[in-house]
Amino acid sequence: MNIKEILKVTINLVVIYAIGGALLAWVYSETSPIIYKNKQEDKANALKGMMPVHLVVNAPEGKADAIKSVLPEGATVQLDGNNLDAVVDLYKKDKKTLLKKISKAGALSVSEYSDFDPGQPKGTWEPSHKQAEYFEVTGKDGQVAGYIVESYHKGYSGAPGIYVAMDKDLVVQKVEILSHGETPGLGDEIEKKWFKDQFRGKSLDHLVVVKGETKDDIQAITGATISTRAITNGAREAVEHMMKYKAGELPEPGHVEEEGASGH
Amino acid sequence: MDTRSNLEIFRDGIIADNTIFKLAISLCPAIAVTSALKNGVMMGVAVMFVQTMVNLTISLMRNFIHPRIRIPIFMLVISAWVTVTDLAMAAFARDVYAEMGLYVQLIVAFASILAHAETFASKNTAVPSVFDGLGMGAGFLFALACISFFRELLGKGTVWGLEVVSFKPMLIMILPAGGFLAVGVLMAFFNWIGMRFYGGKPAGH
Repeated sequence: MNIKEILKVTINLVVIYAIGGALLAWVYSETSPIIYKNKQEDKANALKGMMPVHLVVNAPEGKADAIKSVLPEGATVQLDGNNLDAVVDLYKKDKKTLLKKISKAGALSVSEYSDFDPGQPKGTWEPSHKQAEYFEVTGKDGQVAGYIVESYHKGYSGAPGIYVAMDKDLVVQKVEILSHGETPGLGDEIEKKWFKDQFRGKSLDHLVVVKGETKDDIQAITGATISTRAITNGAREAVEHMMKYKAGELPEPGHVEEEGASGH
Repeated sequence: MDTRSNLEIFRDGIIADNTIFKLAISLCPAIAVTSALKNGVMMGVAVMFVQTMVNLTISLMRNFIHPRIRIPIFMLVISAWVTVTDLAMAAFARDVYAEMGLYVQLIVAFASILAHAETFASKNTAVPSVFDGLGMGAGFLFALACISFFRELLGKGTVWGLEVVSFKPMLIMILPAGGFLAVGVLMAFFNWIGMRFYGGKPAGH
């Protein structure tokens, strides 16, 4: 290979990679603001779904029973004329299907509202070196009704992100998966309803993974114990964090910043 | 230049040159994601799309690629298509991304795509290259669907997540070891059909 040949090859490679790089940079700059906005929207939607939701269904005469039958187990229903008020628990993935089923059953319209308000984040913490927010949920009466905490814990591939909702005594009410990269077919079982439903009513002592059948603790997914642990430990750390918050052991957010500024 | 018609190129991609059952390449993803039918089909669709687009791009660029640096260029084209698809889906097709995102990100270093950029697209014009990409992708999709169908059925007793038979499932089938078993048995089966009825040769010959 003489100099001329080497130059030719180098220029060829550099030109094509420069074009490829420019193209990728352009696509990234066009899409990343939209992707960021989508993620924020997803999180806001997930946050809404962490608290019981009232579905107000406008049901034509005679359709109320059909609509009641498609509501999930444990939903409390009140019928007032043509308006059906159902308090339900919605998981991110099931929401669309449920709304579809309700309109298929003959509903004219569906709207939703909640008695609870998470307000703005109370602060941030750092589970598994990720920035995460926590919220104080207030009920209709303006009193603290519970907490919602974003949490991360290392799994099989990356750290799955979750929201954990607890009541004011820090008993877990609901866990929802925000994002994960666990293996399709094994670890992604964490998204299944049976798995997430296990967390309801668990206090700190029972957020422990057990292999084999259990009602008291968290049952491991067969073939995906690491993914199970990631979610369970994420939830446990969230509860522990809120214990510190309630005990007033967390430094004020402003205080942390000052320390960081003077320390470095 | 390839002398086969476009339709023959497409058909050979599915049967005679089947990525998994005949060429025995890209076996790693074929085992990793085939524990459920839905996963296998999703992965197959994602690969089919990327393989076709890569073949098209390479065939259009082929006169501007110096033979000595063709491999890094192929890698660039593949990873660029994967990244662009990933970003575009996340931004503009959120519903599709929620289902497909995990799979597209797995594609980057994919032997079957690299192999056909090298053996076909870099030597042929755009139209046959597209047919080759579609055929190879469809063959991969078919293979993954077969493997994942049996693994899910035997390992979980379900098809596409719906329960069809109630027996104690053989958990090993959805674990990696079961993937090797399923690929091996199915490869033998398709080779047997090829030899018995069509006088074909077994894989690797």
